[in-house]
Amino acid sequence: MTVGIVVVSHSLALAESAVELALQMVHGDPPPIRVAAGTMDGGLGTDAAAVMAAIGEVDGGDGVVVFVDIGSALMSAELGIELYGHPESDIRILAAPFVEGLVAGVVQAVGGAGIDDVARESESALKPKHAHLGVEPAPTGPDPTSGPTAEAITEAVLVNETGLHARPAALLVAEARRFDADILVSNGLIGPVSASSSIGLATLNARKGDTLRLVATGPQAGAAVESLAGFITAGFGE
Amino acid sequence: MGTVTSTDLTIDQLADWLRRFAGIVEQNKSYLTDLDSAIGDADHGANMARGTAAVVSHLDEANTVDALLKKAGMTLVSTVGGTSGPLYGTLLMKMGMATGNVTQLSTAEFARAFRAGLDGLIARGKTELGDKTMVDALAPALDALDASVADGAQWPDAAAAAAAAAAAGRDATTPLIARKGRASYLGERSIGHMDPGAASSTYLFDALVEVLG
Repeated sequence: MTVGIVVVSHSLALAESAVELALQMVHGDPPPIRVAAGTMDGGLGTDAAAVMAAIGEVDGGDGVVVFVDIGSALMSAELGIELYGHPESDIRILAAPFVEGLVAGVVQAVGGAGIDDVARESESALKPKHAHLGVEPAPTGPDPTSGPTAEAITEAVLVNETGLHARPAALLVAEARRFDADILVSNGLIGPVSASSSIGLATLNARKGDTLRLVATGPQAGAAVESLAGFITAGFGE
Repeated sequence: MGTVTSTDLTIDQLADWLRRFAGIVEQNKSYLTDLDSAIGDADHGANMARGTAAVVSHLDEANTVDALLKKAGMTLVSTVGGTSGPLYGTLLMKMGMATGNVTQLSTAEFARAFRAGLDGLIARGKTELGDKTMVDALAPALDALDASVADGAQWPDAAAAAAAAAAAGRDATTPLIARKGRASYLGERSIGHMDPGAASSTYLFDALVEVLG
Protein backbone atom coordinates (compact mmCIF):
# COMPACT_ATOMS: atom_id res chain seq x y z
CA MET A 1 0.00 0.00 0.00
CA THR A 2 1.32 3.41 -0.92
CA VAL A 3 -1.14 6.21 -0.35
CA GLY A 4 -0.22 9.43 -2.16
CA ILE A 5 -0.26 12.76 -0.35
CA VAL A 6 -1.03 16.21 -1.76
CA VAL A 7 -0.59 19.37 0.32
CA VAL A 8 -2.64 22.38 -0.78
CA SER A 9 -1.81 25.74 0.74
CA HIS A 10 -1.95 29.45 -0.02
CA SER A 11 1.74 29.66 0.78
CA LEU A 12 4.51 27.64 -0.85
CA ALA A 13 6.74 28.31 2.17
CA LEU A 14 4.05 27.05 4.55
CA ALA A 15 3.42 23.88 2.53
CA GLU A 16 7.10 23.07 2.10
CA SER A 17 7.82 23.63 5.78
CA ALA A 18 4.86 21.49 6.83
CA VAL A 19 6.15 18.72 4.57
CA GLU A 20 9.66 19.14 5.99
CA LEU A 21 8.25 18.82 9.49
CA ALA A 22 6.29 15.69 8.59
CA LEU A 23 9.20 14.07 6.79
CA GLN A 24 11.29 14.32 9.97
CA MET A 25 9.22 11.36 11.07
CA VAL A 26 10.31 9.29 8.10
CA HIS A 27 13.39 7.15 8.41
CA GLY A 28 13.32 5.40 5.08
CA ASP A 29 11.90 6.33 1.72
CA PRO A 30 9.40 9.20 1.93
CA PRO A 31 5.85 8.57 0.70
CA PRO A 32 4.81 10.06 -2.65
CA ILE A 33 4.07 13.65 -1.61
CA ARG A 34 3.61 16.83 -3.63
CA VAL A 35 2.69 20.39 -2.74
CA ALA A 36 0.32 22.59 -4.71
CA ALA A 37 0.76 25.96 -3.08
CA GLY A 38 0.91 29.64 -3.86
CA THR A 39 0.20 31.42 -7.10
CA MET A 40 2.34 31.09 -10.22
CA ASP A 41 3.92 34.49 -9.59
CA GLY A 42 5.01 33.48 -6.10
CA GLY A 43 2.17 35.14 -4.21
CA LEU A 44 -0.37 33.77 -1.74
CA GLY A 45 -3.18 31.76 -3.28
CA THR A 46 -4.31 28.37 -4.49
CA ASP A 47 -4.40 26.88 -7.97
CA ALA A 48 -6.79 24.07 -8.90
CA ALA A 49 -4.73 23.15 -11.97
CA ALA A 50 -1.67 22.70 -9.77
CA VAL A 51 -3.72 20.48 -7.45
CA MET A 52 -4.81 18.41 -10.44
CA ALA A 53 -1.18 17.96 -11.56
CA ALA A 54 0.00 17.07 -8.06
CA ILE A 55 -2.70 14.41 -7.68
CA GLY A 56 -1.66 12.89 -10.99
CA GLU A 57 1.94 12.64 -9.83
CA VAL A 58 1.17 10.74 -6.61
CA ASP A 59 -1.80 8.60 -7.66
CA GLY A 60 -0.28 5.14 -7.70
CA GLY A 61 -3.59 3.29 -7.40
CA ASP A 62 -3.80 3.02 -3.60
CA GLY A 63 -5.55 6.35 -3.16
CA VAL A 64 -4.55 9.95 -2.53
CA VAL A 65 -5.23 12.10 0.50
CA VAL A 66 -5.34 15.89 0.13
CA PHE A 67 -4.52 18.23 3.00
CA VAL A 68 -5.84 21.81 2.71
CA ASP A 69 -5.15 24.97 4.68
CA ILE A 70 -7.75 27.75 4.66
CA GLY A 71 -10.39 29.37 2.48
CA SER A 72 -9.97 28.74 -1.22
CA ALA A 73 -7.67 25.75 -0.66
CA LEU A 74 -10.74 23.60 -0.12
CA MET A 75 -12.54 24.74 -3.25
CA SER A 76 -9.38 24.55 -5.36
CA ALA A 77 -8.83 21.01 -4.09
CA GLU A 78 -12.40 20.00 -4.98
CA LEU A 79 -12.04 21.48 -8.44
CA GLY A 80 -8.57 19.93 -8.83
CA ILE A 81 -10.03 16.47 -8.16
CA GLU A 82 -12.81 17.13 -10.64
CA LEU A 83 -10.34 18.31 -13.30
CA TYR A 84 -8.15 15.26 -12.67
CA GLY A 85 -11.06 12.96 -13.51
CA HIS A 86 -10.27 9.29 -12.90
CA PRO A 87 -13.41 8.39 -10.92
CA GLU A 88 -11.81 4.99 -10.25
CA SER A 89 -9.19 6.67 -8.06
CA ASP A 90 -9.94 7.08 -4.35
CA ILE A 91 -9.02 10.71 -3.73
CA ARG A 92 -10.09 12.31 -0.46
CA ILE A 93 -9.83 15.81 0.92
CA LEU A 94 -9.27 15.33 4.63
CA ALA A 95 -11.02 17.33 7.35
CA ALA A 96 -7.74 17.25 9.23
CA PRO A 97 -5.68 19.96 10.93
CA PHE A 98 -3.07 21.04 8.41
CA VAL A 99 0.15 20.42 10.30
CA GLU A 100 -0.82 17.72 12.79
CA GLY A 101 -2.87 15.88 10.19
CA LEU A 102 -0.04 15.91 7.69
CA VAL A 103 2.41 14.54 10.24
CA ALA A 104 0.03 11.76 11.22
CA GLY A 105 -0.84 10.98 7.62
CA VAL A 106 2.78 10.78 6.52
CA VAL A 107 3.61 8.39 9.37
CA GLN A 108 0.72 6.15 8.40
CA ALA A 109 1.48 6.25 4.68
CA VAL A 110 5.14 5.41 5.21
CA GLY A 111 4.09 2.47 7.38
CA GLY A 112 2.12 1.08 4.47
CA ALA A 113 -1.33 1.90 5.85
CA GLY A 114 -4.33 1.93 3.54
CA ILE A 115 -6.19 5.12 2.77
CA ASP A 116 -8.86 4.49 5.43
CA ASP A 117 -6.20 4.35 8.15
CA VAL A 118 -4.33 7.35 6.78
CA ALA A 119 -7.54 9.37 6.69
CA ARG A 120 -8.70 8.32 10.14
CA GLU A 121 -5.35 9.04 11.77
CA SER A 122 -5.03 12.40 10.09
CA GLU A 123 -8.54 13.46 10.98
CA SER A 124 -8.04 12.58 14.64
CA ALA A 125 -4.68 14.31 14.79
CA LEU A 126 -5.86 16.99 17.20
CA LYS A 127 -6.52 14.41 19.91
CA PRO A 128 -3.13 14.73 21.64
CA LYS A 129 -3.52 18.49 21.85
CA HIS A 130 -7.09 18.15 23.09
CA ALA A 131 -6.01 15.57 25.65
CA HIS A 132 -3.10 17.65 26.91
CA LEU A 133 -5.18 20.78 27.23
CA GLY A 134 -8.11 18.97 28.76
CA VAL A 135 -10.45 19.92 25.93
CA GLU A 136 -11.39 16.31 25.48
CA PRO A 137 -10.64 13.29 27.65
CA ALA A 138 -7.88 11.03 26.42
CA PRO A 139 -9.37 8.03 24.67
CA THR A 140 -10.04 5.18 27.05
CA GLY A 141 -11.14 1.65 26.40
CA PRO A 142 -11.91 -1.50 28.28
CA ASP A 143 -9.19 -3.08 30.39
CA PRO A 144 -7.04 -4.77 27.74
CA THR A 145 -6.22 -7.71 29.99
CA SER A 146 -9.82 -8.64 30.71
CA GLY A 147 -10.93 -9.60 27.24
CA PRO A 148 -11.02 -13.20 26.14
CA THR A 149 -8.94 -12.46 23.06
CA ALA A 150 -5.81 -11.24 24.82
CA GLU A 151 -3.06 -13.57 23.69
CA ALA A 152 0.20 -11.94 24.64
CA ILE A 153 0.95 -9.38 27.33
CA THR A 154 4.17 -7.78 28.39
CA GLU A 155 5.46 -4.58 29.93
CA ALA A 156 8.36 -2.35 29.02
CA VAL A 157 9.88 0.68 30.71
CA LEU A 158 10.62 3.77 28.64
CA VAL A 159 14.33 4.56 28.97
CA ASN A 160 14.89 7.32 26.49
CA GLU A 161 15.13 10.88 27.82
CA THR A 162 12.26 12.34 25.89
CA GLY A 163 9.80 9.51 26.48
CA LEU A 164 7.39 8.42 23.79
CA HIS A 165 7.59 11.61 21.76
CA ALA A 166 6.77 11.89 18.11
CA ARG A 167 9.85 10.26 16.61
CA PRO A 168 9.90 7.15 18.82
CA ALA A 169 6.13 6.88 18.38
CA ALA A 170 6.60 6.86 14.61
CA LEU A 171 9.27 4.16 14.94
CA LEU A 172 6.98 2.11 17.18
CA VAL A 173 4.15 2.42 14.66
CA ALA A 174 6.45 1.16 11.90
CA GLU A 175 7.60 -1.75 14.06
CA ALA A 176 4.04 -2.66 15.07
CA ARG A 177 2.95 -2.75 11.44
CA ARG A 178 5.45 -5.52 10.69
CA PHE A 179 3.39 -8.04 12.63
CA ASP A 180 0.11 -9.73 11.90
CA ALA A 181 -1.33 -8.75 15.27
CA ASP A 182 -3.54 -6.14 16.89
CA ILE A 183 -1.38 -4.50 19.51
CA LEU A 184 -2.71 -2.21 22.23
CA VAL A 185 -0.53 -0.01 24.39
CA SER A 186 -1.45 1.57 27.71
CA ASN A 187 0.41 3.75 30.16
CA GLY A 188 -0.97 3.20 33.64
CA LEU A 189 -4.59 4.30 33.51
CA ILE A 190 -4.20 6.01 30.14
CA GLY A 191 -5.16 4.02 27.10
CA PRO A 192 -5.14 1.51 25.67
CA VAL A 193 -4.48 2.78 22.18
CA SER A 194 -3.43 1.00 19.03
CA ALA A 195 0.34 0.62 18.64
CA SER A 196 -0.10 1.41 14.97
CA SER A 197 -1.60 4.83 15.73
CA SER A 198 0.95 7.58 16.29
CA ILE A 199 -1.88 9.85 17.35
CA GLY A 200 -3.08 7.32 19.89
CA LEU A 201 0.45 6.81 21.21
CA ALA A 202 0.87 10.54 21.63
CA THR A 203 -2.19 10.66 23.88
CA LEU A 204 -0.49 8.26 26.31
CA ASN A 205 1.68 11.15 27.46
CA ALA A 206 4.38 8.55 28.24
CA ARG A 207 7.62 9.86 29.77
CA LYS A 208 10.97 8.40 30.74
CA GLY A 209 10.50 5.81 33.50
CA ASP A 210 6.84 5.09 32.64
CA THR A 211 5.89 1.46 32.20
CA LEU A 212 4.02 0.68 29.01
CA ARG A 213 1.77 -2.34 28.89
CA LEU A 214 1.54 -4.15 25.57
CA VAL A 215 -1.35 -6.47 24.83
CA ALA A 216 -1.61 -8.20 21.48
CA THR A 217 -4.01 -10.51 19.71
CA GLY A 218 -3.57 -12.27 16.40
CA PRO A 219 -1.30 -14.89 14.83
CA GLN A 220 1.94 -13.07 15.65
CA ALA A 221 0.86 -11.64 19.00
CA GLY A 222 3.71 -13.17 20.97
CA ALA A 223 6.44 -12.14 18.59
CA ALA A 224 4.93 -8.67 18.30
CA VAL A 225 4.91 -7.83 22.01
CA GLU A 226 8.38 -9.34 22.46
CA SER A 227 9.79 -7.29 19.61
CA LEU A 228 8.09 -4.04 20.65
CA ALA A 229 9.10 -4.46 24.29
CA GLY A 230 12.71 -5.00 23.23
CA PHE A 231 12.52 -1.99 20.97
CA ILE A 232 11.14 0.20 23.80
CA THR A 233 13.65 -0.94 26.44
CA ALA A 234 16.47 -0.39 23.93
CA GLY A 235 15.41 3.25 23.75
CA PHE A 236 14.19 3.02 20.13
CA GLY A 237 17.80 3.00 19.02
CA GLU A 238 18.10 6.66 20.01
CA MET B 1 -24.39 25.52 -36.65
CA GLY B 2 -26.91 28.14 -37.77
CA THR B 3 -26.23 31.20 -39.83
CA VAL B 4 -25.07 34.32 -38.06
CA THR B 5 -27.91 36.76 -37.43
CA SER B 6 -27.95 40.08 -35.67
CA THR B 7 -28.98 38.29 -32.48
CA ASP B 8 -25.95 36.01 -32.43
CA LEU B 9 -22.84 36.60 -30.38
CA THR B 10 -19.84 35.62 -32.47
CA ILE B 11 -16.71 34.10 -31.02
CA ASP B 12 -14.96 37.42 -31.63
CA GLN B 13 -17.65 39.23 -29.63
CA LEU B 14 -17.36 36.68 -26.85
CA ALA B 15 -13.58 37.20 -26.77
CA ASP B 16 -14.25 40.94 -26.70
CA TRP B 17 -16.68 40.34 -23.82
CA LEU B 18 -13.93 38.72 -21.76
CA ARG B 19 -11.45 41.44 -22.77
CA ARG B 20 -13.84 44.19 -21.68
CA PHE B 21 -14.61 42.33 -18.44
CA ALA B 22 -10.88 42.34 -17.73
CA GLY B 23 -10.77 46.05 -18.54
CA ILE B 24 -13.59 46.93 -16.16
CA VAL B 25 -12.02 44.80 -13.43
CA GLU B 26 -8.70 46.58 -13.93
CA GLN B 27 -10.40 50.01 -13.74
CA ASN B 28 -12.13 49.00 -10.51
CA LYS B 29 -9.30 47.07 -8.94
CA SER B 30 -8.87 49.44 -6.00
CA TYR B 31 -12.61 49.69 -5.48
CA LEU B 32 -12.98 45.89 -5.31
CA THR B 33 -10.06 45.65 -2.92
CA ASP B 34 -11.60 48.37 -0.72
CA LEU B 35 -14.87 46.42 -0.60
CA ASP B 36 -12.93 43.27 0.27
CA SER B 37 -10.84 44.96 2.94
CA ALA B 38 -14.04 45.80 4.81
CA ILE B 39 -15.25 42.21 5.12
CA GLY B 40 -12.57 39.96 3.62
CA ASP B 41 -8.85 39.67 3.03
CA ALA B 42 -8.43 42.70 0.77
CA ASP B 43 -7.26 40.78 -2.27
CA HIS B 44 -10.31 40.55 -4.55
CA GLY B 45 -9.30 43.43 -6.81
CA ALA B 46 -5.72 42.32 -7.22
CA ASN B 47 -6.71 38.67 -7.64
CA MET B 48 -9.35 39.36 -10.27
CA ALA B 49 -7.13 41.82 -12.15
CA ARG B 50 -4.31 39.27 -12.30
CA GLY B 51 -6.64 36.47 -13.40
CA THR B 52 -8.58 38.38 -16.02
CA ALA B 53 -5.37 39.86 -17.48
CA ALA B 54 -4.11 36.29 -17.89
CA VAL B 55 -7.39 35.38 -19.62
CA VAL B 56 -6.87 38.20 -22.11
CA SER B 57 -3.39 36.93 -22.97
CA HIS B 58 -4.89 33.60 -24.13
CA LEU B 59 -7.93 34.88 -26.06
CA ASP B 60 -6.35 34.32 -29.48
CA GLU B 61 -5.78 30.63 -28.90
CA ALA B 62 -9.35 29.35 -29.34
CA ASN B 63 -11.27 28.79 -32.57
CA THR B 64 -14.56 27.72 -31.02
CA VAL B 65 -16.78 29.15 -28.31
CA ASP B 66 -16.42 26.14 -26.03
CA ALA B 67 -12.62 26.20 -26.29
CA LEU B 68 -12.59 29.96 -25.65
CA LEU B 69 -14.70 29.72 -22.50
CA LYS B 70 -13.00 26.58 -21.15
CA LYS B 71 -9.56 28.10 -21.64
CA ALA B 72 -10.67 31.30 -19.92
CA GLY B 73 -12.07 29.29 -17.01
CA MET B 74 -8.94 27.18 -16.63
CA THR B 75 -6.80 30.31 -16.73
CA LEU B 76 -8.84 31.87 -13.93
CA VAL B 77 -8.58 28.82 -11.66
CA SER B 78 -4.80 28.88 -12.14
CA THR B 79 -4.17 32.58 -11.74
CA VAL B 80 -6.74 34.24 -9.46
CA GLY B 81 -5.46 32.59 -6.28
CA GLY B 82 -8.48 33.15 -4.08
CA THR B 83 -11.89 31.50 -3.95
CA SER B 84 -12.99 33.64 -6.89
CA GLY B 85 -10.67 31.51 -9.05
CA PRO B 86 -12.54 28.22 -8.69
CA LEU B 87 -15.88 30.07 -8.74
CA TYR B 88 -15.39 32.25 -11.83
CA GLY B 89 -13.39 29.41 -13.39
CA THR B 90 -16.22 26.93 -12.89
CA LEU B 91 -18.73 29.46 -14.23
CA LEU B 92 -16.84 29.85 -17.52
CA MET B 93 -15.78 26.22 -17.87
CA LYS B 94 -19.32 24.89 -17.33
CA MET B 95 -20.58 27.57 -19.69
CA GLY B 96 -18.11 26.36 -22.31
CA MET B 97 -19.11 22.74 -21.77
CA ALA B 98 -22.73 23.73 -22.43
CA THR B 99 -22.18 25.58 -25.71
CA GLY B 100 -20.63 22.83 -27.78
CA ASN B 101 -18.24 23.19 -30.68
CA VAL B 102 -19.71 26.35 -32.24
CA THR B 103 -18.51 29.78 -33.37
CA GLN B 104 -21.52 31.86 -32.32
CA LEU B 105 -24.34 31.81 -29.77
CA SER B 106 -27.90 33.04 -30.06
CA THR B 107 -29.34 35.03 -27.17
CA ALA B 108 -31.13 31.90 -25.97
CA GLU B 109 -28.00 29.75 -26.31
CA PHE B 110 -25.94 32.30 -24.41
CA ALA B 111 -28.55 32.42 -21.63
CA ARG B 112 -28.72 28.62 -21.47
CA ALA B 113 -24.93 28.29 -21.30
CA PHE B 114 -24.69 31.00 -18.66
CA ARG B 115 -27.34 29.15 -16.64
CA ALA B 116 -25.25 25.96 -16.82
CA GLY B 117 -22.26 27.96 -15.62
CA LEU B 118 -24.20 29.48 -12.75
CA ASP B 119 -25.48 26.04 -11.72
CA GLY B 120 -21.89 24.82 -11.66
CA LEU B 121 -20.79 27.82 -9.61
CA ILE B 122 -23.61 27.29 -7.10
CA ALA B 123 -22.69 23.59 -6.77
CA ARG B 124 -19.01 24.47 -6.31
CA GLY B 125 -19.67 27.14 -3.69
CA LYS B 126 -22.61 25.34 -2.03
CA THR B 127 -24.18 28.76 -2.09
CA GLU B 128 -27.77 29.89 -1.86
CA LEU B 129 -29.40 33.13 -2.85
CA GLY B 130 -29.07 35.60 0.01
CA ASP B 131 -25.74 34.29 1.30
CA LYS B 132 -24.16 37.62 0.28
CA THR B 133 -22.12 36.22 -2.61
CA MET B 134 -21.64 36.47 -6.38
CA VAL B 135 -24.84 34.46 -6.78
CA ASP B 136 -26.89 37.37 -5.47
CA ALA B 137 -25.89 39.40 -8.53
CA LEU B 138 -25.63 36.60 -11.09
CA ALA B 139 -28.92 34.82 -10.39
CA PRO B 140 -31.23 37.82 -10.85
CA ALA B 141 -29.25 38.83 -13.95
CA LEU B 142 -29.77 35.38 -15.45
CA ASP B 143 -33.44 35.47 -14.53
CA ALA B 144 -33.73 38.80 -16.36
CA LEU B 145 -31.90 37.39 -19.37
CA ASP B 146 -34.18 34.35 -19.45
CA ALA B 147 -37.22 36.64 -19.23
CA SER B 148 -35.90 38.67 -22.17
CA VAL B 149 -35.41 35.50 -24.19
CA ALA B 150 -38.93 34.35 -23.34
CA ASP B 151 -40.31 37.74 -24.39
CA GLY B 152 -38.40 37.57 -27.67
CA ALA B 153 -36.24 40.54 -26.74
CA GLN B 154 -32.95 40.91 -28.61
CA TRP B 155 -29.51 42.22 -27.81
CA PRO B 156 -28.65 44.84 -26.68
CA ASP B 157 -31.89 45.31 -24.69
CA ALA B 158 -31.54 41.84 -23.14
CA ALA B 159 -28.02 42.66 -21.97
CA ALA B 160 -29.09 45.99 -20.50
CA ALA B 161 -31.93 44.34 -18.57
CA ALA B 162 -29.54 41.71 -17.22
CA ALA B 163 -26.99 44.34 -16.20
CA ALA B 164 -29.64 46.33 -14.36
CA ALA B 165 -30.80 43.22 -12.51
CA ALA B 166 -27.21 42.33 -11.61
CA ALA B 167 -26.64 45.81 -10.19
CA ALA B 168 -29.85 45.63 -8.15
CA GLY B 169 -28.81 42.22 -6.82
CA ARG B 170 -25.35 43.54 -5.97
CA ASP B 171 -26.80 46.51 -4.08
CA ALA B 172 -29.12 44.19 -2.21
CA THR B 173 -26.11 42.35 -0.73
CA THR B 174 -25.21 45.37 1.42
CA PRO B 175 -27.74 44.78 4.24
CA LEU B 176 -27.21 40.99 4.23
CA ILE B 177 -25.25 38.91 6.74
CA ALA B 178 -22.47 37.00 4.99
CA ARG B 179 -22.90 33.26 5.21
CA LYS B 180 -19.99 32.12 3.01
CA GLY B 181 -16.29 32.73 2.82
CA ARG B 182 -14.13 34.78 5.10
CA ALA B 183 -16.80 37.46 5.53
CA SER B 184 -18.96 34.89 7.31
CA TYR B 185 -16.58 35.05 10.28
CA LEU B 186 -17.77 38.62 10.82
CA GLY B 187 -21.41 37.62 11.23
CA GLU B 188 -23.55 40.71 11.82
CA ARG B 189 -20.55 42.99 11.32
CA SER B 190 -20.75 42.14 7.61
CA ILE B 191 -24.04 44.07 7.48
CA GLY B 192 -23.68 47.41 5.69
CA HIS B 193 -20.93 46.29 3.34
CA MET B 194 -21.44 45.32 -0.29
CA ASP B 195 -20.16 41.88 -1.26
CA PRO B 196 -17.03 42.25 -3.43
CA GLY B 197 -17.82 39.12 -5.46
CA ALA B 198 -21.29 40.41 -6.25
CA ALA B 199 -19.71 43.70 -7.31
CA SER B 200 -17.24 42.07 -9.71
CA SER B 201 -19.99 39.78 -11.05
CA THR B 202 -21.94 42.77 -12.33
CA TYR B 203 -18.96 43.62 -14.57
CA LEU B 204 -19.72 40.50 -16.65
CA PHE B 205 -23.00 42.14 -17.69
CA ASP B 206 -21.55 45.65 -17.95
CA ALA B 207 -19.00 44.16 -20.35
CA LEU B 208 -21.77 42.49 -22.35
CA VAL B 209 -23.55 45.84 -22.69
CA GLU B 210 -20.30 47.41 -23.93
CA VAL B 211 -19.81 44.69 -26.54
CA LEU B 212 -23.36 44.94 -27.85
CA GLY B 213 -23.77 48.66 -27.44
